[in-house]
Amino acid sequence: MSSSTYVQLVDLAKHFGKVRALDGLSLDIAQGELVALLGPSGCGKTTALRALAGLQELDRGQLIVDGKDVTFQSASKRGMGMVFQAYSLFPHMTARENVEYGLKLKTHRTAGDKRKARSAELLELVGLSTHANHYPHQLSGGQQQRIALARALAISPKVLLLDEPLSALDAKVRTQLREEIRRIQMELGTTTLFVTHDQEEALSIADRVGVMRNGQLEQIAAPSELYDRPKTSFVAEFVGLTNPISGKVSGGSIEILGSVVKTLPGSVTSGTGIALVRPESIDVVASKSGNAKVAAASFLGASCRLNITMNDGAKVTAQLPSSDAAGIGAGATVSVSLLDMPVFVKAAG
Amino acid sequence: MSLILFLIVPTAIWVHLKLPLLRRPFELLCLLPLAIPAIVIVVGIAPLYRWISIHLTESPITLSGVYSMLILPYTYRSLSAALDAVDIHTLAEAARTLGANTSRVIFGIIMPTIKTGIVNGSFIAIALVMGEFTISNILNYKTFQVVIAQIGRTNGNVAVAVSLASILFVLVILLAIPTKKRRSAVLDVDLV
Repeated sequence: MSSSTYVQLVDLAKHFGKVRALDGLSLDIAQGELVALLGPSGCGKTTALRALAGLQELDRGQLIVDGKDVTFQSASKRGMGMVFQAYSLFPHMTARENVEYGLKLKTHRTAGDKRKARSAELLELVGLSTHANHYPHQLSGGQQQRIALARALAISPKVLLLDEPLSALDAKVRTQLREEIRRIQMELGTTTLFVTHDQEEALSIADRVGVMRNGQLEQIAAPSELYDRPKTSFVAEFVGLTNPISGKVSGGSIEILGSVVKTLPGSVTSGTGIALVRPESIDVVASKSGNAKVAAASFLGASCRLNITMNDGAKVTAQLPSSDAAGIGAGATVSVSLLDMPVFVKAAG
Repeated sequence: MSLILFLIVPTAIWVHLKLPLLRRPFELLCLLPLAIPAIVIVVGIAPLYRWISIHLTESPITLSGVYSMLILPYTYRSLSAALDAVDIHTLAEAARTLGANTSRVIFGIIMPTIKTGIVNGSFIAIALVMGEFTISNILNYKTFQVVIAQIGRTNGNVAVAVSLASILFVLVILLAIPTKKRRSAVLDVDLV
């Protein structure tokens, strides 16, 4: 355990019938850090979060927060702030009363004046001080989730737990709110565990992202490392887009698309393998004597995505800055090569 | 009626929250009095009431026991509908993470949330009890309805007047049942 470790999940296990929701999950979170757990549905990420909140009993494992074992402590005494996927504001209370609720209870009891000041401060923080006297049904989804965030933060939680809080919102609000969550989290320095199935969300705001699969952590790393240096084929394929291209592996390199590139640790070391190549690692230049043809081109704003058919029939997707893609349209003959970026290679077949 | 509310509200919440597997049997049990004719209930319960009136009291207040059974299906249905309309699991979990214990979750969060359902159930129960004749008459209790029937045998006009008054009373109660209409919301234009 490093000196800055604040939250420790040690060897957590939980079965639901025959399904192993958690299968020996261990995770350390440093104080003030925002860790996102990412994975497909049913991978156990929500179970892990609920276990830390005290809302899910475990079959095995230990939960340590701030040096104390909280494994058997009830949810009401753990001091965790949680924002749920479903709207969870108490419908009979105004926004202000919702934020003050936790402070009125025995565990966090605060005097009336201080409580009012604290709720005003938090409503200000989430930018909704003008809506303090609104009832939940008078607020939009995004506003409700902001109030829920203020309510969770009001009790000065040891850990802030976010269970897909943005998934019920539309795309624009989601982007705005996730940036706001990050701003508030950094401002308050609250240790945060964020569960999501949206990789863009996880990669954009987390200090570290943990990719989960079948109740276990496949890899946990900083977003850029996770994207550029995946340790398993599952991580490579789950995070971002990849082109599976087969080639011959030898001596830590693979030969694909006429180039030789290094392979990442954990890749296949010999024989034929399938390289998982990112679309941005493929360089495309318009050339009449090129080795491929563009099947379709989609303009995405700052970048352009090209669906390319190689002369040998293989299909690849490349993504390049719109400025570089100028003049390359559907039907154009192009020359495709690889940028010098290490790739993950999985076993063929 | 208070008796049934006192028993059924926390029980229904508990079953919805903690024992979802028991929901169907519990619902069946609560709806059972609907399937049994009042006369059958009386026949079954008469010996008990005979014992009560001999050994304890002859007060019609003891009828509340059998009336509780009678109003159970109606109270339960309106409670169950209110509980299904909101995500009480998430509300309960949110309250727990904020430090609320089980009784605070039930009395401070869920009961106010399903207030409309509780009030509806109560009013329907009052209306039902106001019209109940079979049980009290057969068990020989002098309730309002039994008395009206007795007066009717001697003085028709008074009986009609009292009956009309009681119908009006029940009508007022039924009209007082809060509708789903909430305070008109000031809709905010901003999305976030």
